[in-house]
Amino acid sequence: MNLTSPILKNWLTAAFILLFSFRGATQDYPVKWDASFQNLTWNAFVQRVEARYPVRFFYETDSLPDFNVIIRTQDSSLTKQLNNMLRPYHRIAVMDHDNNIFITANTSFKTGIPAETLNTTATRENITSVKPTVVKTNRALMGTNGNFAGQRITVGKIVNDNRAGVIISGYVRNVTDNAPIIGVMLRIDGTTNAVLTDASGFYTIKVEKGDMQLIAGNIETKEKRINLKVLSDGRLDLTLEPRLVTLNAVVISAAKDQLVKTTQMGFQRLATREIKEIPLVLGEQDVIKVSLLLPGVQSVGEGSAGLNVRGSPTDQNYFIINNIPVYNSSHLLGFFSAFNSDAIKDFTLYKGNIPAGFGGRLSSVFDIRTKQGNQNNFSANGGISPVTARLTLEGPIIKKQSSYMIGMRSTYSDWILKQVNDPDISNSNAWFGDLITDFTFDLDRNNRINLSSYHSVDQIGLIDQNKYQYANNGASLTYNHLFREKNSFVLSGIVSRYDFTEENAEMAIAAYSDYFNLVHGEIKSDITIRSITRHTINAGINGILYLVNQGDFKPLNAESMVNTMNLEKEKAIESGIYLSDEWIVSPKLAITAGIRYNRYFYLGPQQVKHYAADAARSVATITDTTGFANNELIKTYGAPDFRFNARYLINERLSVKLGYNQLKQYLFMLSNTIAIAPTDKWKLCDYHIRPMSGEQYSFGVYSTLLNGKLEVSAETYYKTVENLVEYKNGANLVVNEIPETEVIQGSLSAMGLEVMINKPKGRFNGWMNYTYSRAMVTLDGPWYEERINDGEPYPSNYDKPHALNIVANYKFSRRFSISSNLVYSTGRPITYPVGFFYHDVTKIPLYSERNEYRIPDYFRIDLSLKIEGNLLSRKFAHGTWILSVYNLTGRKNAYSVFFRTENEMLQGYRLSVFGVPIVSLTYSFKLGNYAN
Amino acid sequence: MRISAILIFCGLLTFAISCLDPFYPGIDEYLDLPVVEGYISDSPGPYTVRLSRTVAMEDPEIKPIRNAVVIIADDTGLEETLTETAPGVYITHADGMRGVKGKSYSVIVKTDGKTYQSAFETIPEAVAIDSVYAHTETRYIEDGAVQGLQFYVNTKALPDQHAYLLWKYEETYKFRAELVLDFIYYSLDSIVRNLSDSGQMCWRTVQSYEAFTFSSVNYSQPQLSLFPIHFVDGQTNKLSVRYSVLVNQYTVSERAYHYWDEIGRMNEESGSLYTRQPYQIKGNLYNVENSDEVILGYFMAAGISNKRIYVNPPSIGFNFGVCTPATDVLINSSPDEINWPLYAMLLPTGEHGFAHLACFDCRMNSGTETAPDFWQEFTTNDQ
Repeated sequence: MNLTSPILKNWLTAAFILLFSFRGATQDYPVKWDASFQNLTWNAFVQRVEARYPVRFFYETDSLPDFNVIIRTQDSSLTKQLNNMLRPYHRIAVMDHDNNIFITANTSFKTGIPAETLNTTATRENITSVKPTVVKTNRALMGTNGNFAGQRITVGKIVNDNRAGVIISGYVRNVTDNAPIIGVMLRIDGTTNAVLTDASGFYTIKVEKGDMQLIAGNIETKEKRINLKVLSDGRLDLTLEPRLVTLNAVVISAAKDQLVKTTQMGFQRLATREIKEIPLVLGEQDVIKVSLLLPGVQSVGEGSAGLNVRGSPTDQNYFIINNIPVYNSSHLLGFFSAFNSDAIKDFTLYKGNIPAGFGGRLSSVFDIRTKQGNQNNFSANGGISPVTARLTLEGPIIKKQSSYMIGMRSTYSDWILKQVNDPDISNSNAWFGDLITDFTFDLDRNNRINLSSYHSVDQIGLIDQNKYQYANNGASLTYNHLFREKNSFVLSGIVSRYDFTEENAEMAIAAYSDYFNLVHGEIKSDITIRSITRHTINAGINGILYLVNQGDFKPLNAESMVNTMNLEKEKAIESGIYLSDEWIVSPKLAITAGIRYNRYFYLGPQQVKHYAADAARSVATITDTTGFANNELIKTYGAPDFRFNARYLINERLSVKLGYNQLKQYLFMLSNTIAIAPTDKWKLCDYHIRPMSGEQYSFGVYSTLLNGKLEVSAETYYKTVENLVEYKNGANLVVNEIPETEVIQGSLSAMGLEVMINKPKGRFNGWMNYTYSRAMVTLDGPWYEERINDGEPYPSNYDKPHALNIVANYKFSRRFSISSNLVYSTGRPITYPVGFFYHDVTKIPLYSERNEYRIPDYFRIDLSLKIEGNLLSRKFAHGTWILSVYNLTGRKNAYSVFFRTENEMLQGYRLSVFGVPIVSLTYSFKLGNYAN
Repeated sequence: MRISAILIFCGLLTFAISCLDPFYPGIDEYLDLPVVEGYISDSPGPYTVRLSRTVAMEDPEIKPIRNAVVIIADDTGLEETLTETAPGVYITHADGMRGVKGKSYSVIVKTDGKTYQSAFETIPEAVAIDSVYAHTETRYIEDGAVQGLQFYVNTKALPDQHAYLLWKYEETYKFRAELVLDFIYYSLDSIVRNLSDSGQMCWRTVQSYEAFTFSSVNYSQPQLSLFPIHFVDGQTNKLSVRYSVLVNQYTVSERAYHYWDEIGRMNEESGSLYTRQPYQIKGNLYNVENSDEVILGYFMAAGISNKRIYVNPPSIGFNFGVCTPATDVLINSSPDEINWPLYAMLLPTGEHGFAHLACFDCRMNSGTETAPDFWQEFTTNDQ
């Protein structure tokens, strides 16, 4: 049984009727009603009818409540029976000439399409054209009624090539703004043959010649069914309508069945529109913080920057927004992420199999895609929360050809701080802002240029003593070319820089400022070949130039007596070349295999220290210094990465997948704090510090239950990191000319089991996941200083074995919904004092082994209520209120537990970051009505 | 980043609701380790070495190591065995060993069949204190801002090579009982008029619980000035009458500096959001036979310079009263419930105001009625 969505607004129907003349007629079909139909659930009833009679039902799944069918009369007419049983639910059933039964609300639904549009254009082309042809479907038809299945479209031309298999490709776009839609699943009805659109909204599907029904859709769009007559290779561009009814749904990625059928594993896609009501701190929508509710994603504590994905440290995540890497992904020292959700369409988190096109970080890729501007109309949306005000503008530059999108966000709360009658707070300030832009130019059907930029700034001052200012600025220019209809070529130029300044005036005589800067310049080219039957080949090369200024340390003012120190500048090139193939071996088995080769060149100018071989590196063991000239090769590292994964479909609703992944990482964060500190800098691998390398094995079982209503998956992984960068006890990294003397390289081993249940649709929707995971670090260097806990494995700072997240959303009506999170995790490991000792009268804590203890478990419940403005279709703007309470129970979850000597006492404290319920009200608006 | 900064941040987000509360996790583990601690300096002895064992969190009573053999030796083979004068406290003879600048020293401890020894350290040339002085300043602590006196050190010239300095201090303050005792109630029927004036004025001496450190590495000036040391809260009785501080400045080895610096840092940054991993810092002692055994503490060789200053409290801004006489004690309680005797003063209203004995007798606040020998009521450089 198949579902479609003919919820037609009156105005839409009216438009439709104006455009076409119908030959409407209600058909009927004689049915013998035996007892086997009695008292079935509606879904079962539909299945039985479909099984016995050559009819198909089309209706919107969510539009009907669950009810049991009662046959009251023996009238043999199918539609009469249906109308009788559906009357209490204000639904009408009609049937067309092809025995399709449509169930709609209120208005009678006319079936059939105008004969004159059928095949005419395509047929003419078939005769005149010798090239693989493009179907010129009637745009108005395709665009206006996305659900209409009655038409038949011819793809290609009649050729006598004896090939049974042909390839159809094209773009899938959103009908309202003409933007490409990523992750739309296209599949041929009745087969397991399915593909997804890629990042540019492009798809390629291999089919047999003949008649078939193509089903396209994902969670953001209405499903569309198109009857195809496929004659040869050809192009088919589709437009889909955004899904109205699931606007309130809280859903994780995935078109129905995608979880089971795609070869990808260990990944998750979240779209911004799907997470709007998830309550977060101070009502600030935040796609990245929401990822903490996904399995396998942890952080050290609330308000800390950085995510720990599958047991990896925070610097092993790669945050890219439209290909621009972002080196500091948080605002306000970590309380918010640096990405304005309004400007973001979706993001994909790869935590298991990272495609061969990515390299450079061991743990994950957060591939964030911004919205592309509406190519048809100007549109604006924005809002205000207790922290920020935001505004996003979009519209066409030239209609249907090019568009812009500009998303702005800024705090306005600085003045609030000034009102607080507490000198500590009124002498502090915190400001941040970010700007995301995207300009897209469709040069023609096959060529597109995209220019994107990303900017973020933070300025924080604490009681006039500490000032932090940091900024990301980046841009990408991407050229996208389609050739031979289905192959694509992408060329990108990317620049990104991160600047950071700290001013520290805690002690007047040692007041300093420190400036750090990293520049990332990249050229990248990728090619996707889809013309070989059952293979999708990806290949590409990239080169990254890193320029790092490790620090300019200066006295802050005339009173300060510190020396100026300019640390070494670093230069390196990371290059990569990759090839991967997704091979559909059989309808059940699909394999993706890839290889990536990286080479890293660490270049001069630099003075490199050499150390005695028989002791740990330190100032005292320096034996010699070598000077390297500009661009002289200091050190090079290179290694191949192998990536492999396979999916086997046991049946339509159940699959197993396994994967193996290798990665290398050539830069890391100089950070010996438990959570990423605002002062942390990036450092390149160098003469002494070797690149980190990672391996991951994973296995998973994926299933859809209850006719696709429930997605259930379980994934396990085992992962190792070699040359993990850690630090000696008490390492000083603030201004250090020779950081290699503080670095220890060890290993990390992590394992886990992630179980996820997702109910993406329906009035009640949400997800629940449980993760069991461990992440153990071993630092067992040859010298005493290079060993932690005597070289024995110890739990990492973010090792939280048990984690449970529940996200639930209940929609009372179109206008009201409530949403709630429940978060539980084991407390993170901590080093406690296990006693103390006296130095004269001073009490000094005696610390346990590193991370021997755990802070109390973490538990939190959040709640939010979302109220949509009225549902009038003709109005200027639509508003939404979200009232949210973060940490509803006010539990004082420990961020850390620590002991401090105060006078003669050793005092124990619990530090909780959000230890009270935090209530906030957020208002958002957009131009147009609820549906837009 | 300092704790204060974090708390402000936290308050800022949660609208000034405290993020810190006292908390004691159940820690049942107890690691019993020996501690050896002391120093030798270029100023005359006697020098003290303290031996103890680590104590559990819930049992703060010091556990001295008694009857050990403690020897201080120099690099020429000269040595002196120390005498235990109090449990776990071993000192040299008054006319015994004398530390000399440029020579290296080590302590050897024999106890329980084990021999512990410290790495030899050389007494560096002492950097001299030039001056110590105080400024009235505002400090930010968890409860908000407090006014008090911030003390600073200026040194004389630093050496050409790197200098590592460590400061400890000893406070002595003169203070008065807050209230004057007029009556002692032994019972409701036995009320004695108090004529003694004892317990009215006291002195108290306290050793510093904290140490301050400085390294001249990455330092640009020929001498150190305005180096902040301790802060005295203006709301305590320390600054009520007259306050004196003896600042001891130790010029120490890089290793000793690092030891104290790390202890201080770990204490200071422990509550911040961006704390480093705390760890058990290693001193300079080891077991001669078994290098794996952990011995805590440090035996350092230091060049010493010290300075005493006196401060008379500023006339305004500070507030130290904690005692408020109550008049309703006998009304609210029956005689059986009262813990006799009661102490009272005659209020201007003619009523008797009751308060705790500590409000009337400064000896109850660890004070002694005799001034220390060095105490001066007036000096020419009084602040």
